[in-house]
Amino acid sequence: MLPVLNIGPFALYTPGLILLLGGWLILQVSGRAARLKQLDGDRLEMIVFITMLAGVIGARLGYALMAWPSYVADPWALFSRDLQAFAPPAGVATAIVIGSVIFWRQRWPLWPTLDALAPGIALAALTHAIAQLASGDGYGLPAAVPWAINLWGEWRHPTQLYAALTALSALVVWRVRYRQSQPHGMLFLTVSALLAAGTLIGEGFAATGWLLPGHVRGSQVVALAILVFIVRIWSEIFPQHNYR
Amino acid sequence: MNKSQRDWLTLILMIAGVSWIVISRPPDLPPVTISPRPGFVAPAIALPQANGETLALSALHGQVVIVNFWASWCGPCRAEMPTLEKLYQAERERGLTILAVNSTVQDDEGAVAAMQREFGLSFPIVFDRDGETGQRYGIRMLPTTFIVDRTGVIREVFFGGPLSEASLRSVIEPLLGE
Repeated sequence: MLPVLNIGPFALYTPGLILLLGGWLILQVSGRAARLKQLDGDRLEMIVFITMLAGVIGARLGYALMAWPSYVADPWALFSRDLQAFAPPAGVATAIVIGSVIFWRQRWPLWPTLDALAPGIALAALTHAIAQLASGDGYGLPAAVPWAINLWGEWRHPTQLYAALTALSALVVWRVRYRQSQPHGMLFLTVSALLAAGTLIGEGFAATGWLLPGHVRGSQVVALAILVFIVRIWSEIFPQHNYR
Repeated sequence: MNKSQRDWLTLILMIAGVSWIVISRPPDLPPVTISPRPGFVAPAIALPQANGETLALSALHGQVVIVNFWASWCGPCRAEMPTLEKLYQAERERGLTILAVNSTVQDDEGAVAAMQREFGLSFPIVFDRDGETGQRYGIRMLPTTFIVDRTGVIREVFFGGPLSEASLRSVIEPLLGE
């Protein structure tokens, strides 16, 4: 764990650096993937950039909304340099909404566009996992397995590594299959299903996270819902893969 | 995949998924491990004040404590001190305390006293002269701020600064109500 990186007199917040680097890689990968799909890579890069920026703003606004009396009393705090004053779920939701609206208004084809975004989504998951590994957040439950890591005074499941491995395997699958001839959307749904399955299993060992009533992890419920949704629509959108 | 196969796969996925979610629910145990992390018991602090008296974090049990590691030469630390003082004055009656841990191993006690006068700081300031407390808290950046709840459990850690009043209030308000 390395939440702060000291370079000479400077102390840098490592997860922030990793997120910046990840953001840049996501832009590059999205543009290249778009060109492979005969889409306008430069325009897609710009949309992804705007979407990520909207996500950052949404995350800050979401955080402020959760503590709105404090921010109403001190609105300038919205622009403060507090690196922890962000609500990531609100950021992700804002990014999805803004990105969807832009793609819809500019009439991008749905499934080829999602295929082009697939490696970026896997890379975002990988960036998040590595940032959590650096900050020490998202740690696992105490465990006695041989691959447990000593973290915060106990041997624990390396849940950040589980998430990183999930994202890496999704990236590998994308890399192996991206040049293969396949129906539009199949690559995106495959990557999404892998990420959802990995989250459903891996988060089962996490000690932190968003809990629903009954101590059920919200991330697992969302992952299961995505998996079920993919199974339901798979045969609808890929009729040529029907064996009937 | 035909419709029947799809329905069976959905059913199997639902049963397996829901079972795993239920089996893997995290245990509802109170934190017992000591670590400088949100969700863990705050490591002990027992350090001298300017008058020579030792102040311990354990003596503040039952209050919400903002543990702020700082130094007088650190710009962001200086910038957030008026905010901390304002918050302390406004919320001390509700059970908020600020424990300002000066990183004396890399500071000067005379400069600390001057800064205390300059900003009119009334909350307790303790001196980490050998840097051991800072090490126990894994301090690699100044300021670093820990929010400790009434039971002695760390609920939030802020790396860097200056912190805004809104950010601090967003964390301490629910804790003051507990």
